[in-house]
Amino acid sequence: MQKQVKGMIMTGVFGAGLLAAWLWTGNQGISKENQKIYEEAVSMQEEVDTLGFEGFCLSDYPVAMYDGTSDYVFYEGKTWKRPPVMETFVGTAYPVDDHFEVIVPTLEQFESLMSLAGGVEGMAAGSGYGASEQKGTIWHEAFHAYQLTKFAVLGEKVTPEDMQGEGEKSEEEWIVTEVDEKPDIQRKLKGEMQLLEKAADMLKNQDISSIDGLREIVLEYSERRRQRMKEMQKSAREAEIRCELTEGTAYYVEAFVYRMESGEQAYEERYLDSLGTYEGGRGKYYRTGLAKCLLLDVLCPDWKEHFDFSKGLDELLEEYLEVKI
Amino acid sequence: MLGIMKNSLKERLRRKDIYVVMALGLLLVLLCMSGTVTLSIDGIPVTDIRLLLPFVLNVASVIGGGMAVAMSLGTIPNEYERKTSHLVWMRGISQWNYHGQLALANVISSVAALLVLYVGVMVFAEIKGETEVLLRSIAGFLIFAAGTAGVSLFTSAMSLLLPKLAAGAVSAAVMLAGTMQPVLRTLSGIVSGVSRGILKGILALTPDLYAAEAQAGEFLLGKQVDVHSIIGGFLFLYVGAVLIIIIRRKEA
Repeated sequence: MQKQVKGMIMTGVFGAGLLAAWLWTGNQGISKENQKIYEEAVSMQEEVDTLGFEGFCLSDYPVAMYDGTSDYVFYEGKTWKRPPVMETFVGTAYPVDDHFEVIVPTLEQFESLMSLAGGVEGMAAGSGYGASEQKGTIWHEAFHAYQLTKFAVLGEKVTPEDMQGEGEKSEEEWIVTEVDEKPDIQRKLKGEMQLLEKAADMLKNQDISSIDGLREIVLEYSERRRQRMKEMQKSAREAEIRCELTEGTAYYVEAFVYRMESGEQAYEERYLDSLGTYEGGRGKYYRTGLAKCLLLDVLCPDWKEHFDFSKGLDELLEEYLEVKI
Repeated sequence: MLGIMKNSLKERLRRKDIYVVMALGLLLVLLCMSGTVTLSIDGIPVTDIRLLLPFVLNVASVIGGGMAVAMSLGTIPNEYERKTSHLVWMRGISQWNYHGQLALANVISSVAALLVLYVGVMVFAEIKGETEVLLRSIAGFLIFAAGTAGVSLFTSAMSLLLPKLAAGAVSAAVMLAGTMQPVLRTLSGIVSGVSRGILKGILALTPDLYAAEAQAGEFLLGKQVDVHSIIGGFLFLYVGAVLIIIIRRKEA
């Protein structure tokens, strides 16, 4: 009997030890890989500065990584854990107290999320989403925090309080109902996207010896777009311009970071090869916006000098075209 | 001293069904590695052993977990049905000793079945010239097998507590939820309301068998392992063993 009691005590002690070790190792916070990603993303500041967005600095904004249970916040050289601000996996710039923060899922969660989106094959083999993509996402969302903090986008200053309130019809809803669900508008937009892709192809192939050829394409694009816009409701037009301006520029920053990290070929495959691809919702404007930023870089290299998000990317392109005509 | 366990193992070796299941499992694992099953990321076929290994180990662990449930489910209830337990009580052997030996036989046969699949993966690694993977294979198997052994013990414990069908359903559900933890965790972040509550509950109540098994892949490839996940696998094994000791059944 005494032997049995002894055995039970030993078993209990062993179990308690195992449990303690499990709890202790589980309380180590965010993985080193995520910490490294953040640190390496911040260290790219000097390169990102060459893009020319004045006052845009990643370390100005707290970056929170959500692991499904807690947020791990990186800011001013410190990392701390807190209950999640948004209990969902999303990459965003979100108001926290009186400021905007970058919120992204941890690399592991993002990878899992993307794998899930890739179906059975994606779940089995992974999504291919890695550190370079995560750094790009962090910079993308930080750019949104920068837009929201420092500018009145298209003349409208959004405060953290505004974002927490219930909005009316969202940008996404306007785009879906007024563009995706209208076959004629959709067809016209697809045509415009083909033109943008053609222009971007010229940039990709460094075929800009004939700058006039490039201008011709942009002129044609501009005209077609103007005609299409006339057929759309004012709110839908604004939604498109706003989305392209905010997301297109953020995507441009993201693509730049990815290019620095992964090289030219990977950059072209991920960002340039799909520029003409139409998709429902806001996604297509990330690409049209990126295409316009790349065109402005060639046609009007100083476009960011006084850039304050007060006008759409097309307006900037048209200004350039008017000057040159 | 371990006569009950030896007898149980001998009986199992006489059964043919287990060989068929093991052969099918091995065939599937070999198919995955041979390139017959096409796997691609962004349209690029995956043939590199370093990319394939985690995937195949994942497949092997799910098959191994299924075999562990199947092999461990009937052992103890069958003994009670055949009234052989009565002979055991007459010899003064305690319940926990009896159950423990039968459960141990389940663990050994489940781990042996998993080993067959694992050896298949290692042979393929050797063919591909991954000698380093082979050198780490023994320690790698200890990490890899912890979850399967835990599933076997848990199933044995459930078979003491519940009718066979219910025990099988609970054990299979725990095994599947455990091997699908990353998917469930991600889903719990996407859905809301009651669905999220249910998923969070499942995540809290089931062991992360996927993470435990995935560490074997990391270890084999010489990458950094997550000790927490490995300990989690062994903790599940421990819980299964404790359940076998504490769950008692009406003596027959």
